[in-house]
Order: sequence, then C-alpha cells, then structure tokens
Amino acid sequence: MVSAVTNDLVKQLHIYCEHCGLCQSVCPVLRESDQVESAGPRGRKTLFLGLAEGDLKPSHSLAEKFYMCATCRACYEKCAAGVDIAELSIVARQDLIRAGVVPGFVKKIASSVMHGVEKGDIFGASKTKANWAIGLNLPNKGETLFFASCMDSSMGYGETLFRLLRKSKSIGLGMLSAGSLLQRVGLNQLFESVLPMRHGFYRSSLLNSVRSLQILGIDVAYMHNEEPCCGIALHTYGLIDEFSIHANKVYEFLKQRGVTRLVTHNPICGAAFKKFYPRYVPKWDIEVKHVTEMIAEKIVEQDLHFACRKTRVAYHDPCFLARYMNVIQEPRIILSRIDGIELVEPDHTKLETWCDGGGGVEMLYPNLCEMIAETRVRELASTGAEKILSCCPVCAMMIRRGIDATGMQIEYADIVDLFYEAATHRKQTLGIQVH
Amino acid sequence: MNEEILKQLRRIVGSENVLSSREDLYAYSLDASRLHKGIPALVVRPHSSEQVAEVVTLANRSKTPLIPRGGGTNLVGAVVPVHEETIVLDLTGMNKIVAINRTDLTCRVEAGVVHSELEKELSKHGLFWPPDPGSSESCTLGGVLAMNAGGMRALKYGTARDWVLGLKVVVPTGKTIKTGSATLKSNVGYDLTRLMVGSEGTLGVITEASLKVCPLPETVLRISAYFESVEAAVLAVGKIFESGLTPLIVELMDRNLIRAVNEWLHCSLPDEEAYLLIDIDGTKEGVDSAAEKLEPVLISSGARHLHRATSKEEMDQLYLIRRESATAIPRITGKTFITHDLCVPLSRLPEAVTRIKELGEKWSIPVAILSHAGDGNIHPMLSVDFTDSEQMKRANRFKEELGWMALDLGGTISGEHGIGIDKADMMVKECGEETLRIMKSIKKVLDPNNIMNPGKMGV
Repeated sequence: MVSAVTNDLVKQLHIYCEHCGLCQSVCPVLRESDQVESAGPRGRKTLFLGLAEGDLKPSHSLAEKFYMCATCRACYEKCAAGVDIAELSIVARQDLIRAGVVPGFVKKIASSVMHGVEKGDIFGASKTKANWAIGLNLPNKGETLFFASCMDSSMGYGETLFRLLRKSKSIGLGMLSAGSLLQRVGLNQLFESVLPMRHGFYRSSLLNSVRSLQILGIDVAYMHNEEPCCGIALHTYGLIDEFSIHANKVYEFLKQRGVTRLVTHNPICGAAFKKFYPRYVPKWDIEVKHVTEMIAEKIVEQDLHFACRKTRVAYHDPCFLARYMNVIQEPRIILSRIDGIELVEPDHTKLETWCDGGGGVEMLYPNLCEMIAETRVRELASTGAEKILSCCPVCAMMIRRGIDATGMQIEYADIVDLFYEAATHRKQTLGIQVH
Repeated sequence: MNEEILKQLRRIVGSENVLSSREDLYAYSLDASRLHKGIPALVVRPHSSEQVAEVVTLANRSKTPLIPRGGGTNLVGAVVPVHEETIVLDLTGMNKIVAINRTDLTCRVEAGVVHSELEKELSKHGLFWPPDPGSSESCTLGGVLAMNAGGMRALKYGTARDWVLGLKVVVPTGKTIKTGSATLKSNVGYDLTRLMVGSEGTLGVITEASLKVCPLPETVLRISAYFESVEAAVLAVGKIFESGLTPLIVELMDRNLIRAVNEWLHCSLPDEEAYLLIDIDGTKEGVDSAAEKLEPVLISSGARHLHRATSKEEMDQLYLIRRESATAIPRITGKTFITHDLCVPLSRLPEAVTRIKELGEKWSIPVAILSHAGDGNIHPMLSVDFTDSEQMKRANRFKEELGWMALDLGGTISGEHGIGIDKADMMVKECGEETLRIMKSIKKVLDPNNIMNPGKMGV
C-alpha cells in the first residue's frame, strides 16, 4: 500500500525531475562509492519510483540504498527543479519500515533511538546530561529557552559508539544493547565517570554558548534534566509517525513552560524545530534561532569588535545549519568582528557546503562516513588554514575523526568557543566580570 | 545471466564491480530521455582499457549485448537496454585526466572523466575544451564523444567531433585500436576518429581520448536583447552574421521561457516575446569593438531593450537563467517537458519557429522555444502529461512532424542530441536508403555479432 505522501512525490518526480544527474555531481555518498548509480540521489529517485510503482519489491538491500543517504541536501541545492532527494529518502525509509524490511542493524539503532527519545536523551543519559550547566544557575523557566540537545550534552557516548561501530558493527551494536540496558537500570553514570574528556569537548561549546549570550546581555532559561529530546533521530530513521506524536508532545511541554523562543547550538535540533516541527505541529508558533544568529545580531546592533591572536581559519558550514536553517552569514559576521581572524573559504562553502559524513547515517555506515569526513577535511585543510571552525556536535565528531584519519596538521574548534575566548578578553580589558 | 560468464566477469573486474542485485540494475534502467526504460541483466564497472577489452571479448564470444555508459545524461534513450540480456558497461570509474599539455594544446582523458572536472583542471592552465553540453557537471567525456554533444559554444567552435584528435577504442571483437593522432594535424587514411565520435556506442567502446584544447579568451562580453516576436529575434541573428561578426554564443528564449524564469527563478527579465543572450569573446579591445558593431545591428533589427552585463555576478546570473530556463517550465505548467532537437540553416530559422508554433496548435500541445539560435539549432519544449497515453501519442506525432519540417527546410532531425531509440525510425527519411545501408554495412564489418548497443540509431 503506497502512502498518499509517496504518491504525491511520485507525481512530482515525473513532472519535475529531468534525470539530468546534476544531483550526482555533489553527492558525498556517491563520491565515496565509486559512482555506483544506486548509491547516488538520481539512483535513489529511480529506485523510489520503482518501489512506488511496483517494479521493485521492498527488501533489506533496497532499504539500505535509502538509509545510505546522508540527508545533507547538497543535491537539493544543486537541483534547479527543486527535487528534494533527502526528503524522498526519509519517506522511503518510512514506507520500508511499514513494509517490515528494515535491516537488523538499522532496526537496532532505531529502537535504541526510540527508547532514548522517550527518556529525553537519545543516548539515554537524561540524568547526567545537564552536568555541563552546574554552576551557571540558569532558571528552569523563561521565554527564551536554551535548548542544549542531547547530541551536544551527551555526545561522548555518541563518539564512543561511532568508534566502536567503525571498528566492528557487532561490537558497536553490542555496546548499544549494553548501553540501553544500563540506561534502563539507571547505571549510565558509570559511563559518565569513564568518559569525562569526550563529553568535555562538546559540553564546553554549550557552556560557552550560554556564557557568550550572557556577555551580550541575553538571558536564557534551561530545562536541565527535564529538557526533552527533539526527536529528530526518529525523523532521520523514517519513524515519521513516532516523530509526529513526539513533536506534538514536546510542543505542549514547551508551551506549558511559557517558551516563545528556542536557541540551539546544535543545528540538527535547530533544523528539527525550524523546518520539521511546523510540518507536524499545526499550532507551532515558537521562534527558533541558532546561537550564532543571536550573537551576530547583538554584536552588529551594539557595534562590538573583539580580538584574538592571529589565526587563519576555514569555516565549515554544517549542512543542517546552512541548508536546513538557512544560517550562512551570521557565523561569518561573528568572525569578521574578531581582529586577528583571517577567514578562508573552501571550494565548497555556504549553501554548497560539502557534508562531512554526519547527519544521522554515521552510526549506520561509519566507514563510509569516515571516508566522507576525510575528503572534507582534505578540502578544508587545502585552504592553508590552521584551524577548522564549525558549530555542530556531529560535524565536530566527524571532522575531528577526519583529521585523525588523514593526519592533517590542522585543529578543530567550535566557533562559539573561539568567540567566547575573544569576547572574554575584551570584557576583561573593560573591567567587566565574566561568569 | 550464464554462470560461467558471471564468473569470468568477476575475474576480470572484481566481484565488487559486477552488479547484479535487482535494485542496482534498476538504477541503470533510465537515462535523461525519461521516455525509454530497460533493465540490464548486469552492470559491469571496468577501471582500465584492458578490462574493457576483456569484457568486450567475452560479450562478443557469448553474443551478449553490451552498452557503454557514462553519466547517463543523453536525451534519446541511447544507453537504455532494449534486450533483456544486456550488460551495461559503466565507465564512470575510469575517470583519470591522464595529461594536459599546454605547449601542444592537447589533453588526454579517460572516458569516465566528468566534463566539468576537465573544464576545472584545464582552466588552471588557462585552457578550455570548447564543447559545452548543458549536462557538463554530470556527463562524462566518453558520453560527450559517443553522442557528439554540442552546447552553446558550438556556434563558434563546433561540436565534440571538431575537438578530438585521436581515440583509444575497444572494437566489438575485443581488439583495442588507436584512431587519429595526438597532433593538431593528421592526414592518414580513413578518419575513424570522426566515425567513432557520434556513433552512440554502436561501433565500440571509447576508453580514452586525445582532445584539442585552446587558450581561454581574455574576456567575454554578454549582451541581452529583447524582441517583439521570436521571428524578429531570429531574423536579427541572421543580420549579426551578415555584419561579419562571429559571437561565442547566441541563445534564444521565447516568452514562455521568459515568464517561467521570472516566476520560478525570481528574475525580472522584460516581459517580451523573445530574448537573445549574446556572448562575444576575445581581447578586451576586441570585444568592445565587436559590441560597438553589434549593438546597432540589433537595434536596426528591432531590439526593444538592449543591455550589456556590467559585473561578473550579472553575467553569471544571466548564464544561469539560460541554463535553468528549461527546468522552470514544468514549475509553471505543472506538466513534464520533453525537449526535442532539430537544426535548420540560419536563413530558414524564422520560418522554422513559425511552423513550430503552428504544429503546437495543430497537436494541441503547449510548446516553448529554446534555441542555440546562432547555429540554427532549435529545442522545442513540449509540455505533456506522461500519464495521458493519448496525449503522449500526439506528442510523438508532433516530434515526427518537427523532424520532417526540419528536413523540408533543408535542415536535420538532430543538431546535437543524437538518435538513440528516440529517432531510430526517422533515420531513413533523413539519410536515404543507400546511406543507411552503408551505415549498416559499416556496423556489420565492425560488429558482426551486433553486440554493441543494438537497437539504436536505426543501424
């Protein structure tokens, strides 16, 4: 039984898609798959039509073709006709889940995600995820809510899982099962105690996001351990019905807390709220901002300038920030206000940014995604930059992995960390106490 | 597929390069024609000329149909299988730019190199390869040569055939031959290079090519001119050439396309009946002097608005508008478009555009006119509903009559897209019985078992 959404997409594909292959030219998965047609967006489109029109039967191997899409939307930006293969892949995933043919490893990860989302953290660490905010004394309620996101606050787990999956799918999935079990019996603090450094990198970006906003006079609330998961992973894996139900619950929860504006550091959650929630939550009326938007707006409004040591940086636009949230200029505005920063752009930048392998499929196809990360890191390093900047926890994980794998002499830093360092320097010189 | 053949193919190219799952094969069932569909029995992905030769030898021995395929961007069904047991030879893995020689003005490429990748590399050396198909970012050079593709610059520089010096080809018996030479001149026997270029994969597999390249022009000047009718615009094109000028490109968009790009691409082109986009390349002084000569010609030919692009951004924007204009049509009509291809002598262009519009009315199918007007190449764009079989039949008759109209005007049924499946039945009318018989004889000599892309081109 083909869904109405699928039928509508089929009709659109027949009208708009010219099968011209422009989408193929930018697909990171196709590039790292030696150009095998079925690994790219045009191939996925053909398979989607075949599935919907009955030429192809649902199967595990067919499902893998759709789960391989990184949903980076580079192909959408390239397509003059506006065909969105990322969306098509998500719809196909939903259809294949309904047909009961999802591969075992996808099912296992999706099941863990469902459990995590329900508990408020995709890694199941809802009891420890707010540790980064200890000492900030942020209020639990407020109109402007800082949404920390489990991907930022618990990414240490994600990174460990990715490393294990990359080495061995079975070990990784075993770790996932063990992790789920520990989380269910409340022993996930055990992980916390052995992984402080890995969490630390990601959590410092959260801390510096809030501190930067405070320096600029923006007060935010934070729900601490009560913060729900946005549920984007459900959407990514094709669990659309579950995502829709969850999104409506989250909306009601936020409204009860009087939230009118969400600020995120993680652009993946930001994209969930900005792009997908309005589609599934009819009453959605909450403004969504990325932290770089808030910072850029304030420093322009107050005409602020900062300084740091002379550094040549390449900025990597995260796919979810540039192509889903449409935030492109703001990070560059921030960098332009810091004396000492020399920004160099890679060949693929802004809306045409290249995916680094993150976005949800890194847990399903870790080796493929690592190859994608390596290619991106090579391109960023070819600019001659000393540092790669970005502002997404999954990009941070993938780019750092890419740096390790390629052995490139380049560092990675979050743009918010760099900004906070520069802003702190200025505040200190002005004699203002920094939190 | 015979198990022994499968085993041999896996030995030749490696198991990972023999695709046989239903979904892998299905992904290769279409090309950009979208009107034709055929699922191959196998897809084989060689990574060297030697592997291609072994695969072809095996196919010839077992009389298995074989289709060489690059980016799959042709518009006539040229890489769509018509036999169930067909092997598609996917050459996209052979993507090395072997050499670029600035002094000799040549380069050597493997068949799977993407056109835009070559363009990017050549530009680093101050060079370019003139053929510029619209699918530059997704088509491969093997495909460009096999289909003898053209593009906007064909007006000044000709099509792919004019820019290839020599080829490495695996002929249907599995032997590898060299045609032509890497020199700028070669006058040795029959010109097999020009025979292979445009043969649509029916005579062999092009695995490598030596191409002639030229220095990038110092500058390009872009002029827009708008007219009160398509006929007036194409009459002006004739006047441009009569004045002794040879622009780089002269592109035509009719009102349907102007409106479509204004709406879908949020442009603000003047709401006129026809738009000519003209590029002049050369030295700074040269293009300025040519523009001074061109503009009065356009004005005296009835141009209502005339505008020189003043910045790189504006030039890029105008080029993008032209490139994406066809795509905008379905966004306005809500229907699929089919692009056709015919070419007439420049002097007959006004008559051709009038007759295209009349045919649109006759068959009740909306038609937009996009044209590389400078070389008489017209792409009538028919808006149709793929799901309406009666309308598709009418569209097919429309296509045939477009071809006959072109012949009637002393033109040809294809300027640059080629024949494939789409126009195979129309070949005899253009070529004549005897010419087609000679073509078939050539095919028979080179491919006695008819394994190379059978069912295409009417041969």
